[in-house]
Amino acid sequence: MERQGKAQDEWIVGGHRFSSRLLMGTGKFQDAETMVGAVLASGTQIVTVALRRVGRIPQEDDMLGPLQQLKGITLMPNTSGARNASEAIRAARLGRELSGSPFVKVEIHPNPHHLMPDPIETFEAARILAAEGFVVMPYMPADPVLAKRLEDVGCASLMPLGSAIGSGHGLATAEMLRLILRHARIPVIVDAGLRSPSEAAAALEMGCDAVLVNSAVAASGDPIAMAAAFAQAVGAGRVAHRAGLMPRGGGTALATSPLTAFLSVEDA
Amino acid sequence: MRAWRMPWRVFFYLKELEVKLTVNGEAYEAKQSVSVTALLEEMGIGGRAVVVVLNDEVIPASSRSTCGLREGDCVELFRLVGGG
Amino acid sequence: MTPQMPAWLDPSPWLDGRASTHADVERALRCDEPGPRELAALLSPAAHPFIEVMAQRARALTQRHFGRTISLYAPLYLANHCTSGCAYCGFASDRTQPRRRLEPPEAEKELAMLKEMGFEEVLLLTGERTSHAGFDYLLECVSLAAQRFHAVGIEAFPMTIREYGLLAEAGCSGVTVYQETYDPRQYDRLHRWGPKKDYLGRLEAPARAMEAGMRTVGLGVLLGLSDPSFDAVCLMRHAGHLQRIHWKSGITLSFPRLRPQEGNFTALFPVDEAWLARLVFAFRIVLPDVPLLLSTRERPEFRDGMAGLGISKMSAGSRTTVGGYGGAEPTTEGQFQVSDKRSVPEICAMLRNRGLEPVFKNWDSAFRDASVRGHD
Repeated sequence: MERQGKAQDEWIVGGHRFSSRLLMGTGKFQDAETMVGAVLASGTQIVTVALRRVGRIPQEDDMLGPLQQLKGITLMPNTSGARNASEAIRAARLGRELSGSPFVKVEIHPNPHHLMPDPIETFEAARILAAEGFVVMPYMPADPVLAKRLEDVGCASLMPLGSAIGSGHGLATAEMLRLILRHARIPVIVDAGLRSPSEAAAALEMGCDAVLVNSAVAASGDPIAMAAAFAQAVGAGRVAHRAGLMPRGGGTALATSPLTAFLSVEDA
Repeated sequence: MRAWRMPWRVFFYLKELEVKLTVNGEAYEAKQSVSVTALLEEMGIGGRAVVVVLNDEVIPASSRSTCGLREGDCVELFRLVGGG
Repeated sequence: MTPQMPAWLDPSPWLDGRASTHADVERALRCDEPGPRELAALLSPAAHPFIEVMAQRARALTQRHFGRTISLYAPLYLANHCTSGCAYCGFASDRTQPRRRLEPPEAEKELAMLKEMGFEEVLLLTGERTSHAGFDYLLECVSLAAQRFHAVGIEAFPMTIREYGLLAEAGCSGVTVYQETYDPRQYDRLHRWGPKKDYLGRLEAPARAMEAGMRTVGLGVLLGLSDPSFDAVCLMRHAGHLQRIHWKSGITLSFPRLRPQEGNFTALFPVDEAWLARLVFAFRIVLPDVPLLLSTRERPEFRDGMAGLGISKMSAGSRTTVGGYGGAEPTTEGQFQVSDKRSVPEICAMLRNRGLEPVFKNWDSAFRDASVRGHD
């Protein structure tokens, strides 16, 4: 398929090749040390970070310094906090100044309770940022038509939600994800709502190109161990997808009266 | 010893060096307005990776030492933190 | 100079020369997201014993996606002028038969007859682009048809995006362009001369039509010209490619089977009824929501049997001569022989007897934006 790189089952997004299919968020960790440990244990190559105004009190925990020291990690600012396209666009531009990378996760959730992404503002922001040369990764409702619209305006990937952020409800949108996958021309990365490594494996088995997890690792009992578990699950899911799962049972029993009796055995 | 009273001229001169700015949405009296770099030093975030937005315009790192601040300027400072 | 297949069409990763086994067929039948590999398995000799199972699955899927309805439409040949030299076609320029086109008043009469017969959807056909029956003529006929019919399709010659756009604005809702065969070498051999020799130009025509905002495109292969499994997998690849990019338009598939007609071109890869049936079932299984068409080339009993088993759309009461619905004896020979000569009421009665409902109109053209016939 067009989305795959050749060597070692790599995947390509925005012209960049990656071998890890696990993306990590860096929020909600208790401290920088745990966060960095989890990032390392996950083997991830793409890490999302947020943009915040610097407090006048300068003692805030510097999570980012250590991350930026790590090799082979692409920082992807997200626009979380933006409530509309123009805020997201502004955040993306500021983020690019700091991260030095063209990657941006467009995340616009006007409602602070359920944190569902706004499809209209997301589309608008994606359109403008893609035209400015960003590698746009839109966080989106798992809607197959919206997926095509975002593809059309130049997004580098699709990031449909599995379920609401932090809910841990797993792949509630599985049916929609299948529809998106069927005709996607760019990588599909399931983002939000995953709770367990088995869910991540299931996403890869289904055909998704990658997953992004944050709460599932940060809020687990042992984030560093959990990150490693997710890495293993994503790897297993991918191998299983390529190997081809065994078919489901049943469905080949015959009814009593044959439907094909009308066929004649004739020369064409 | 008699308390030294500052000459009025010196007092007003010193007052003028304090510039009223808005930083990250809050009022801030900057003692240094000579440059953005100086302001960051004053705030104790000189060495950190931040992006500076002055009156809605991004000031690249290379220009910070020469970019001065005036009364009423609106400064926003952003950095990357952990997030999902 | 044989044209090259584009990478998106090339079926070779899925036709790796390894014969499918019984196990491959079972796996294909149970696959959640069947692809070209599964289609190849279902078309292989190993799948022949599964034909009844495939028929049942095809029926269930057809009911799920299309209900118990069969869409009916009428083909109207506007002209049989042609400059191409397709070895298999009754209209080829080296075949001697009277050539004519319907003048607009005649076309109007034919359209009125079809409307009287109950049709709401018509397919207008011509040969390759000629000075006698070119774009302007076609545009005029489309406009006439769009005034009477809720769906107007054309099966003519490959056009530019601009031309398709003008047709869409005039009321054309669908464009049919069969590649006939996707095998570039065979294609080159069979299309001896004329505009149709352009393999890539023809291949890209459906995409151009969708780009111009056409609501539907019809794809198809003429079974018998090349290895039918090869053509079938290519057809599936073509459909998938268009659906990925032109996601706002619909596609339909058709598998006309080479039948005898004047000039007696013999099929190089003859396909029997059982294989054709299995092809229809296989496509229904791998592309559950794509309408599949069956022409009047096939005998009545076959059409009766296939209605609802994958087939969701059929022509009825067809004439393949120029005009011909007006009642007068046709002055030209048909493009192919019509095997199912039943009238519309007869077809409808047959369908109802089988628990199927004939549908003439799927949607009302009144909902269409008058100024913008296509999309966006």
